[in-house]
Amino acid sequence: MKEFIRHIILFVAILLVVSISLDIFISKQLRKSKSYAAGEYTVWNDIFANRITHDILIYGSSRAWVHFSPEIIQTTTGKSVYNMGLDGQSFEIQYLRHLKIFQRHIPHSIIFSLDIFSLERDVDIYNVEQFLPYMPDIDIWNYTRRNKGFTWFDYSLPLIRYAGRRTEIQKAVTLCNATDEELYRYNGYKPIQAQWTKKVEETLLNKKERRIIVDSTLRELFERCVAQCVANNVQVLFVYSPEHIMGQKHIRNRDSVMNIYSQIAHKYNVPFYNFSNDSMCYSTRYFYNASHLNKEGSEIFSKKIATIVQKL
Amino acid sequence: MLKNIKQQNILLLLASLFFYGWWDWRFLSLICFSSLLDFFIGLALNNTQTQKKRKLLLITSICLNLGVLFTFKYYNFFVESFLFLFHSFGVDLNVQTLSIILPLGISFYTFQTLSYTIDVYKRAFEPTNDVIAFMAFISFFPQLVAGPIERASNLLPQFFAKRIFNTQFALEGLKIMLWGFLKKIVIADGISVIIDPIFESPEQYQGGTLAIAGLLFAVQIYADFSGYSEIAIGTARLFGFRLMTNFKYPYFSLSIIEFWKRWHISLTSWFKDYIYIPLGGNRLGFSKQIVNTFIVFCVSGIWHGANSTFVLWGIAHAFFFIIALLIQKYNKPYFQSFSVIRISKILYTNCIVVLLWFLFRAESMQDVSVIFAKIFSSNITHHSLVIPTYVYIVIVVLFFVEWLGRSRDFAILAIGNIPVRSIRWAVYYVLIFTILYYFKTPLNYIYFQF
Repeated sequence: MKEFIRHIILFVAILLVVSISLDIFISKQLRKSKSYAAGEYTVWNDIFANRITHDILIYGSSRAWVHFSPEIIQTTTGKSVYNMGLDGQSFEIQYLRHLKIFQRHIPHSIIFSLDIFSLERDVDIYNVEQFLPYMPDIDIWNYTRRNKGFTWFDYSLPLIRYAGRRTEIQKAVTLCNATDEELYRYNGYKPIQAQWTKKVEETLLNKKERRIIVDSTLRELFERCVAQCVANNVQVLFVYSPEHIMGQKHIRNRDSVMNIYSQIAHKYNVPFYNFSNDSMCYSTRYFYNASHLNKEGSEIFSKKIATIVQKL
Repeated sequence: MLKNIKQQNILLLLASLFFYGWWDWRFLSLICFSSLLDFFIGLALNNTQTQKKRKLLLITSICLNLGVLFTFKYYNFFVESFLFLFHSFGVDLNVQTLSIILPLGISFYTFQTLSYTIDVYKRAFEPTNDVIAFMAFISFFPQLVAGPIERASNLLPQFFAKRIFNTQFALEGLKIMLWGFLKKIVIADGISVIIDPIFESPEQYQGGTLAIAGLLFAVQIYADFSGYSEIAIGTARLFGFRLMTNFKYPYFSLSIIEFWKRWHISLTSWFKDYIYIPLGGNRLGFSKQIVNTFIVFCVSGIWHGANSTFVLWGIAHAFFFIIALLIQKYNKPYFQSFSVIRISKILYTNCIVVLLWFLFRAESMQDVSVIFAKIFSSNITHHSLVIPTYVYIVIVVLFFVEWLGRSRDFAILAIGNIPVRSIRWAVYYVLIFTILYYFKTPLNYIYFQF
């Protein structure tokens, strides 16, 4: 038995050393990527390296990251801006970012880019690859462990989280020779050059109406986040950015979701700018799909927001 | 450390029941029923001297065990088959099918308990009066869900023997497990991704694509099932148990007869001992041997699943097995030693095996006819299958390693011959990291469905 244990300890020790080295290598390489996982690594890197010391932060989902241009807002207001928008995430993951930021820096203002889907709980975490290099972090662990397939081993043992993730491993290896990868996001912002097409319109016409099931814990989390910001004297602003009028019709209980945001805004005395009826919502020119503005639309909208922020 | 054998057996039994209950706790009652039934029948058989009563006890065990198996596995198949038969004669019957889940490993542990009772009945094995050891033997978790189907004569005595930790034995167990995981995760699952869509809708693919898919399935099912068996055998060794070898390089067989001596050995030997030999085996003349062979293969087909494709697969194997018996009977092996002849025999055997795997893998008889119509046409030269390079590499590595290690029960143990430890260990590390690289959950084993 002793001989067996001696063999195993030696074998596992070497295995651990190699695994830790490979884990560090893959994580380090992936973090270098500017475009993989929708460019989220650049934002997470900025968070973990304490590079987010900006005056104004923009929170939200994909509608935040493609609608708010930090450059335009910064030019008008003279204040530094960072877009924290996360593609495809409910408020839980948005809150994770808020948590990590608040541990390091309390901004002057936060713009909450509201979304009709943010208070709905998603079955699984979208774009979960963005968390891989950061999984040993306790907050990342707490907010991502519900993801199907993630186990204690993924967070605690080296290399296990990369098991079977061939795309990520290959990406890490290719990044050894590709340091000049094109920047995907600018201070978190991603302008989308696409245009509204007939296909988009056809898809919308065939789309069935549905209800948003508001998750009470997400609603509470959202309110807690707002309360925390207000308590820390952060100037909070709610913005519902333009959504094409055709897209607005598909959610049956849109008004009741909007009402939740209005109630929270009222409770914490937060200004709420709702662009649901803005002239932009009636023109396909500014959108590439019903929920998202294209580059032209986002630049016009960012100027409008910059003017509002300047006046506050 | 538990020094007492009784305590060790209790722990093993609890671990096994926990393992099984983790899948679906409701079916624990079924495995307990099956175990206790044969435990008490075993004792009763030992205490009964009247042949008539002993026979009755045996029949009770067979009927109850097979009754449970039939209800869960075959009821719907037979009802649907009868309905179809009557419908073809213009009679429409109204019989309801049942909505039931197939309990995991039922075919495996039913055969294990049956073999115990039959052996006790034949007085080939002394029954045990230790219910814990017996239940631990039936539900022994490494081999519970997909075998090897153990015989009481091999496994049960190990539950009473003092288990002294043997380093070499345990290390071999780890190596066998490692090779099993490699086969399952890297090879079987790697191939599964490529061929599953093809077998789901074979009508959409060309003959060449289907032929390649068939070849790949032959590798997949071997890597999947022998991989599982090796994981089970390796795990059992860590607990000090030696399970029987289930696969002995079947694709290196020189004939169909040899193939069945090397493929799923625990099942084929079960059929041989409990069906073929009781039917008379080859003792009652050649024609009776042919009939007995045919019966065994039909039962083997049905055992694999409640689907006519499995029955046809069994019948087809019976046909080629009987041809091989005839060749063996009338042909003198003049050129056995020539390598070219041996290689041609291996190729011929594998051609038949691969061809018959189509019957096994096809989801319906309709799919079988589509596949065979396409592969036996000019369509055979066309294919559009893109196979990743790594699949070719791992298949070559698999058969190369198994060829080199074919003189042993487990090819991986041949690595132990490498004199330099650092090189030996480097090979193991490469295998571990390869498994991690290709790892994918959940692990679904083909034979879990049986």
